[in-house]
Amino acid sequence: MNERGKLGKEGEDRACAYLETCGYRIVERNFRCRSGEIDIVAAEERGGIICFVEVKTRRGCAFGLPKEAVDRRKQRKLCAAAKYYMLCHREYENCLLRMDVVEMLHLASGIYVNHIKGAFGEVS
Amino acid sequence: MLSKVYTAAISGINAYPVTVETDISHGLPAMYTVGLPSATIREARERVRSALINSGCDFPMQRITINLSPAAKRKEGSHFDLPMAIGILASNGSIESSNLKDAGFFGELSLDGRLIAVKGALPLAMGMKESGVRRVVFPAANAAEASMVNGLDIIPAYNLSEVVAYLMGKKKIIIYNNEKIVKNEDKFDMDFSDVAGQYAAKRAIMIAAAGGGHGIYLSGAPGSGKTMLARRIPTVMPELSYEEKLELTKIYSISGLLGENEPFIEKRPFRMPYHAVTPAALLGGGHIPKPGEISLAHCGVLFLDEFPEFDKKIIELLRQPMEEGEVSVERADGRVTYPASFMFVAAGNPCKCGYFGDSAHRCICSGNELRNYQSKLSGPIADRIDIQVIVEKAQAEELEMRGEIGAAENSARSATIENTGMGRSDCLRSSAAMREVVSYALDVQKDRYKNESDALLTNAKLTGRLVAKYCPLDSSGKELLRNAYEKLGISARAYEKVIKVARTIADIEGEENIRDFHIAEALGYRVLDRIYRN
Repeated sequence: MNERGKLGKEGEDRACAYLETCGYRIVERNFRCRSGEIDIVAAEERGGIICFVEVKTRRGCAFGLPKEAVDRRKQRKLCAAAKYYMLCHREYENCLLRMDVVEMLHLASGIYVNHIKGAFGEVS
Repeated sequence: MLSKVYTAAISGINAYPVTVETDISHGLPAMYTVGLPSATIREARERVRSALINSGCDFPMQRITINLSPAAKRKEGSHFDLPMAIGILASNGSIESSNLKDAGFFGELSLDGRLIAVKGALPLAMGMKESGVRRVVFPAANAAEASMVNGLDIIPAYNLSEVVAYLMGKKKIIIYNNEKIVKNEDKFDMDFSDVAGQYAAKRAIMIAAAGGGHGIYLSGAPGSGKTMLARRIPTVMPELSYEEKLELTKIYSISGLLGENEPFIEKRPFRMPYHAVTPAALLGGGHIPKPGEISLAHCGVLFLDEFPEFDKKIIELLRQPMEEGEVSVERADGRVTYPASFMFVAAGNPCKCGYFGDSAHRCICSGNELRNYQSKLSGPIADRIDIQVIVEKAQAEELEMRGEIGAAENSARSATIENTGMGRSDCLRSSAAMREVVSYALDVQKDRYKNESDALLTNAKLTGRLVAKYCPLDSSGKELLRNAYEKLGISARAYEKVIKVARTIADIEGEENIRDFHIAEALGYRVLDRIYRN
């Protein structure tokens, strides 16, 4: 795995750990289908919510914040993948759905995590 | 869960009921609006979302579908924000749906949840009433206007959270009481007593108004007072009836021309479109149809100053509305009709330089210029002008006397028709006195035409057959008219107009029959035919 891939993988691991400490249960990681990939599928059991989480990791802000990289095109792909996931897992039929973004910033001073709940809705 | 909230949408000057159906179902968070919403309504999604969140309510992270039923009619307006927000809350279970059955909702939402006034509150409220709703929530700024509808409880609200608390029974909102509104009646801030002299023009104006709106053309040199006279014409027309006020207020309401301080139209309007007016602005129209100047002048005066400067095509467009008293705007998805029954008043200089026929100045126009200018006045619309009068500048003594008469006259006047009707200049001193004469003449006409199918028939609206029926001439009148027809070369249409104006003059004078001197005066109001022929 190259340098960039490693950073991404590391970011996703940290995000999982972070979500677990926040009370989420990690249901699935790196769900892949034709229309795209979902980094993390997490469940917030209290509220009966299934969260589709996109993790974005960056080393600095020279190219903008990590969350800015989740643009319309990316959102559309994530929604399509989420829909496909719901078709494959009818057991979650009655859950509420949410699209989240977790942004990670690896800086010299430390690692910053920001969890954006309900970052976007279905994109037409 | 599905919820239904009642509201209405504007079509023409009326409203039809609309049901906002909201369904929240499982799926990725999204909000869809269907039922032919305009761009304003599609954007409501963002306002509703922010307003709900900022009012402390939940915005469901689910798939929200909103249908505006009937789905086949195009809808327009910002007043759908509130019903959509309420629909979402009801679907969500935050509000009991049974509380919404007899209620209607209107209001634009600001992002912080405040309710903003909407256009067309009066027609919307009327539309709601017809659909059987008992109480209607309106932004507080619209309450006065909407309260004009009898038998409907108006609930004024300032923001979304107030409405939600009201629907949950946590807060009481007092029904709007319109008895407190100070009515500004039909007091005008101008009067014919402001105009010095000009008795001939004032009398012509009085006759025009007394016939139920004969078209009138004021010709005169620059600065002679044409515009000043025209502006005062609404002051001699009779008071508006409740139905007329309602109709006018509806027109102004959907045009967004009502202020919070002036929730009803109480005075007859005076509209003066500029001569570069576009057809859509004059007649009404636009992508989303809107009333034009002629509808804003409904029941009042449409004044075209510098009439010869108007584009001929624009003037031609006025013909049909003038005959029918309404105007239709055709659109791909239907036609809308706006009322447009106005009194036509036009003014202009007699020639390009303005001094043709003036005693003090010499006209410097060439023969060609003169012909060109005058040709603009001929044509079919000029035929629809019953009364043409020359406005000459007032004499110096008359200007000096102004003011003194006005004050004395207004206080001392309690004259009856018998002594104002016959006196020539006596009844022309103030608007109140002129209006008395006008009202009297209109009452006479109302009585005379009470058996006709058109209950609002007046002399100005008589057609050929009815002219023959109601305007018999005696032998000397006939002879006078025949002479004029043959020797002065007046047209066949003008012939009929002279008779109609003579009928009005006779009504003013309190005479049953048209006499020869009535005909003579009416012939005197064909000045354009005369001066331009020489």
